[in-house]
Amino acid sequence: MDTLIQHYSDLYNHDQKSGNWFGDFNPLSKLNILLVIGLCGFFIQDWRFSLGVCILEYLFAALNGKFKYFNSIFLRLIFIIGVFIILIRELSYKVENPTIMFNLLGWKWTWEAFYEGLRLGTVILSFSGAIILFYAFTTMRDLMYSLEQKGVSHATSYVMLASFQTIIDLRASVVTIMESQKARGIETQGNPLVRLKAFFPIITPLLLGALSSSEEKFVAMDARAFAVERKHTFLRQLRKVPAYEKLAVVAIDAAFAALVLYKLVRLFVH
Amino acid sequence: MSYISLKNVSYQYPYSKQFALQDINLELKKGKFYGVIGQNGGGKTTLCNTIRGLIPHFYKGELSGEVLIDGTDVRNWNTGELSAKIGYVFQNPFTQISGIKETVFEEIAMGLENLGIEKNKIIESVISVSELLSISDLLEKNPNQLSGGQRQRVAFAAIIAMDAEMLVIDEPTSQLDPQGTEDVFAIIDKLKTSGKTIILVEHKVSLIARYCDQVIVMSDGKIALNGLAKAVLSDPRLEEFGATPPEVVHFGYAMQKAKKPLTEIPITVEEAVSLVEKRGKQS
Repeated sequence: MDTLIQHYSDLYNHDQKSGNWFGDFNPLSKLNILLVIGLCGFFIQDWRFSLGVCILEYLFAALNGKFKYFNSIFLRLIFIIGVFIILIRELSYKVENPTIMFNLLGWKWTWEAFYEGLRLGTVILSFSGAIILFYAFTTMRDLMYSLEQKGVSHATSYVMLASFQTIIDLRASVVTIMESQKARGIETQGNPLVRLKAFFPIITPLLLGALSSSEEKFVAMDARAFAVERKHTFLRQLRKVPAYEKLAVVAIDAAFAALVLYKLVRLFVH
Repeated sequence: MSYISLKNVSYQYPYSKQFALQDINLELKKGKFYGVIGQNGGGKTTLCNTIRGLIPHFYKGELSGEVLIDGTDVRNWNTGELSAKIGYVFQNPFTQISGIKETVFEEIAMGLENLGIEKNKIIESVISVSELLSISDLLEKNPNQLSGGQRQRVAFAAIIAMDAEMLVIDEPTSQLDPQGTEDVFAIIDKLKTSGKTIILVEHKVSLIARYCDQVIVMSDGKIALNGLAKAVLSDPRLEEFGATPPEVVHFGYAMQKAKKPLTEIPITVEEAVSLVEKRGKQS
């Protein structure tokens, strides 16, 4: 027992360490830096810049031991967002005297639409990459803890945290229900239409189940003195933000502000 | 003076025409262990919700009569302070896990953090409770990935750690194996010895018989029987009210029928053995 007490005293009476220099940044600093990087693409609007950001994000994840996590989500996004946007632009983007890339059974693919899709796709991907990096390097509990320290209410931070968990729980429930449907002989695999037909009937019970469990969740939280009006203790302790971290945030924010200002000036001058 | 007092209490859930509780009069004394049994839908959980103050604070509906908690009407209690005074463990272990903590240690500590307990005291309490419930090996695990039985133990540990004066426990062993159930009852008994007031809803009557001081039988929203465990569990009308007596009670009545009566109807196996031995010596 004493060994356990010692272990947890050491753990919770010292700053939480992730073992990674960027992971140890304050969650709000990480959010700030990555949001700015992700948002730059929206202002620069050049696919080469956004693609460069995506490559840098990949490199950053790989150099900091998060390649597997980053790659597993980002690859899916490339197919879902990147390819989808290019397809949509090829369908909808029209210019005079287009340069034909190729002709697919009468569907003319143009370089102009392709670059337009590439521009928009890479902007969204670079922003999404920044968000994925944020989650790769930040635990939700630390984010909420730092938000609460900045004055966000306990209830708000709980709702935000619990929402993430609810998504995971709902997904797990879908898998369980689909498995039991399969055991009853209902076809749940195959082409998208078959999958949709199997999925559609479970939506209502799934949502009703989630609603009824939210009532029990309230009772559970109430039992944990969630509504008590006293100063809360925070078991976890985050590192005091060091000067170099503050400096990095200020420098990145200043560069971003300069970029936005430059774009605004150009907009008004032209 | 009673710790909890219900006088002519009736309650209807919103949009329901039926009474979930009807004309309940009940006095619960400090330091006693009360067992609540009865058929499903008989009002056991509603009674717990009333004692815990969730009715009328969370479940609106129609509440009439008087519910006094430590001398103050339940309507005048601050819900947060009530949660610190009366701990509540309920049936479903899956919704009792907060879903926002990444280790069992932090899950158990959550209530204590909310109560503003000093950090080192939190650590000591969590370790001591986890040892009591034999879950020390789970402390580093993610609570969202535990089995039903493990979650039930963790949820129970989280409430015990908060050290409330009274505990309302609604079927805490529904997901546990027989050994786990015995362990939990032994812990509840220890809590009672340390002076806590306990209300336990449970279908396992043999365990109720072994541990509880007093038993309340709920049927159709009313208190059908209320008294010392021995008197209630050996009452011949028990089955009429949808409750099952411990098997050993049937043995006692069978002995009476066979004209070999024991000096009293036993409610536990240990008691039956002792009565049979006594009878053997007498004859």
